[in-house]
Order: sequence, then structure tokens, then C-alpha cells
Amino acid sequence: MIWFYYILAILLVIISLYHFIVARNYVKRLIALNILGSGVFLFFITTAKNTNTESPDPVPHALVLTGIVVAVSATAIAVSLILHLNKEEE
Amino acid sequence: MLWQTGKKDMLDLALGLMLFISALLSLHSKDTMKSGVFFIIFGFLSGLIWVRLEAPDVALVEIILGSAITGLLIFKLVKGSKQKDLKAFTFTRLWAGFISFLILIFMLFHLTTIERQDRIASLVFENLHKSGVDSAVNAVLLNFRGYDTLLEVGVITLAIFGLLSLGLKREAYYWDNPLLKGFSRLSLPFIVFFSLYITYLGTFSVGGAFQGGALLAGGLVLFALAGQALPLKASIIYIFTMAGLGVFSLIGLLYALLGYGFLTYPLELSTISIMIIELSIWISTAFLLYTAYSGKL
Repeated sequence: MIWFYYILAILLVIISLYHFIVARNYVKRLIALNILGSGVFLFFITTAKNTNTESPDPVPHALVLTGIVVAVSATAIAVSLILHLNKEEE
Repeated sequence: MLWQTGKKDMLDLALGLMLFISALLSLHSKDTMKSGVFFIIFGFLSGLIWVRLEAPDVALVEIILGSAITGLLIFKLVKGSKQKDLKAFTFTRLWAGFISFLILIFMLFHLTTIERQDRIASLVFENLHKSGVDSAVNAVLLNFRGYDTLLEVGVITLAIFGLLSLGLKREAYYWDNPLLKGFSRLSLPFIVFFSLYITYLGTFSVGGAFQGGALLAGGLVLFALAGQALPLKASIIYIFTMAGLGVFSLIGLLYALLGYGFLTYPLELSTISIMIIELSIWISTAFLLYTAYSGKL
């Protein structure tokens, strides 16, 4: 089943990359960035499962855990920057 | 073998297909509110997929942070911005498609070279008894690669302080509903205790500081979502947000001064040091993410 998750991760990365470039609305762009991150995390977790050991590799799990928390704080600061930008434009 | 399927894989196929469709709908819909709703569904489904891939630690954090709190932040943005979704120029679409296609080719080529092999997993399991905790993920997070985690706590602290320094006075989105008010008040003590329990579980099983902190942040945001302010002074919230970075670097420096090396715990003291660090990360993650939602101290 590993191959399915690898292909899913690749598809998520490429469609969100396309929409990240194409979207001109900042909300859509932020969502595309978050989905791109999820695709990369899926690639990591799938690679963690693709070992000969009985339980999955804990190192990618720890990296993804770190990554999700950093992604949320990046989203938080992006949201307030965009709101600030809208206030400037008004 | 990479290309092998079994009977249980129907669930994986269904979950993966739903994940892909929710991502497509979230990216394609014209209405930004609709995109946000589909993004929350996407986050929840990816949490379920982490469970299928035997990563329950990641699933806990993903469902609370990646789905719920990111969703709330996006709703805050949708309510605050009235920008229309303009169509991109043909030239932009062309080169975006070209770049995406190149990356697709590159990654498909990479896929053919992937083999099932032991990476560093066996190294972690061999040295687990030296780390002071029984959970492999937390051993990596707080002992073997403690430096990464310290910098991560630094990153989220800096991000929240950057957010606060922008000084937006916009009120956070809230729902004035007596039922939600009562429910969030009733459930907050239980959430606090349960998140503390999850943090404590991190020393020997699934759980840990970030999972517990994410859960507590969810409880605090639910409390704030009903339009209530936390009964804490701003200075106390400030101390809580700084606790993780402060305690973590102090313990690291203490061991450096004692001659063990930065963030290198001696074996007999490692469990207690990791637990103190976990408690401080628990409280500061929760209050940092709460501040990210409320936008002020």
C-alpha cells in the first residue's frame, strides 16, 4: 500500500504548487501552502513506514511533529500580515 | 515489494481518495469560505491517514493544530479580507503548469529509486534505553535531537511575538451563544487535566508535550470562541508563553556548565530533566497558539 501513499503525496504537492502560483487571492494562496506542507509530511510519514523494522521509523515522525507546529505558527503570522496589508490598502 | 495490495487496503484507498477530493475542492472553489471548510475536512482526513500509517503522535497534533486551529485562523482571515478571487494571466498559468509538471516528472523518477531499507530507525531503537524515556518519538524529539526542538520552540515564540508586534486591534471571531459558553466553561478543567495526562504519557507511550499543548490550546480557543476572556493577567500569560524557551535553554546551559555538554543529559537525571522540559513546552505551546488565535496578550 506504500506506493499509493507515495503517489498521493506527489499529487498533493503538484496540485497545491500549481494553485499556489496561480491563485491571486491570499486566502487561497495560504490554503495551497498548507496543503503543500501536508503533501510533504505525507511523503515523510510514508518513508517512515517503508522500513524493515517492526514499528515505523520515529525520526521522520519527530520531524513532522516539529513541522506541523511550525506550519501553524507560520500560518498565524501570515494571517496577521495579510490583515495588516488589507488595512493599509483601505 | 513496492507494488503490492491486500484486502485491508480498501480503507486506505477510500481515505486517500477523499483526502485528494477535499484538497481539490478546497483549491478549486471560488468562495474562500468554502475553501476554508474543505481545508478543515482535509486536515481531519489527513489525521486519519496518519493513524493508518502508524503515526498516532502526528495524528493527534494534526487534527487539533493542522485542522482546527489553522481552520480558525483562515476563517479569521476570510472575515477580515474582501479581496476578490481574480483569474490569473494565461502566462502565469502556463509557467505554473510547466513547473508543476517538471516537479511531477522529477518526483516520479525519484519514486522508482525508493527501496525498503533500514534507515536510522534501528539506531534509535538500539539507543532507546540511554534516553531516559520509553517512547521512541519523544526520545528523538527531546533527547537525541533536542537542539532541533529547542530551535522549534524558539521559532514559534518568535512568530507569535512578530504577530503581536504588528499590533492589530481587530477582535477575534467569536460566537455569542449561551450553550457554547456553558459547555466551554464546563469542559475546560477536564481538557486541562487530560492534556496534562497526555503530556505525562509522553515519557513511555503515545503522547508528549506538543500533543498535550495542542489539546490545551484547543480547549483555550474553544473558551475564547464563546466570547470570554481568560481570567488571567496579561503578565501571567506572558510568563507562560516564554516558559518553554526559557526552561529549555536554562536546562541546556546548566548541563553545559556542569561539564556534560549543551542539552546532553546524564543518564540518571535524563527522565526528570525531560519531564520538566515537557511541562514547560506544554504550557508555552498552549498559550502561544491561544495568543495566535486571539491576536493579543
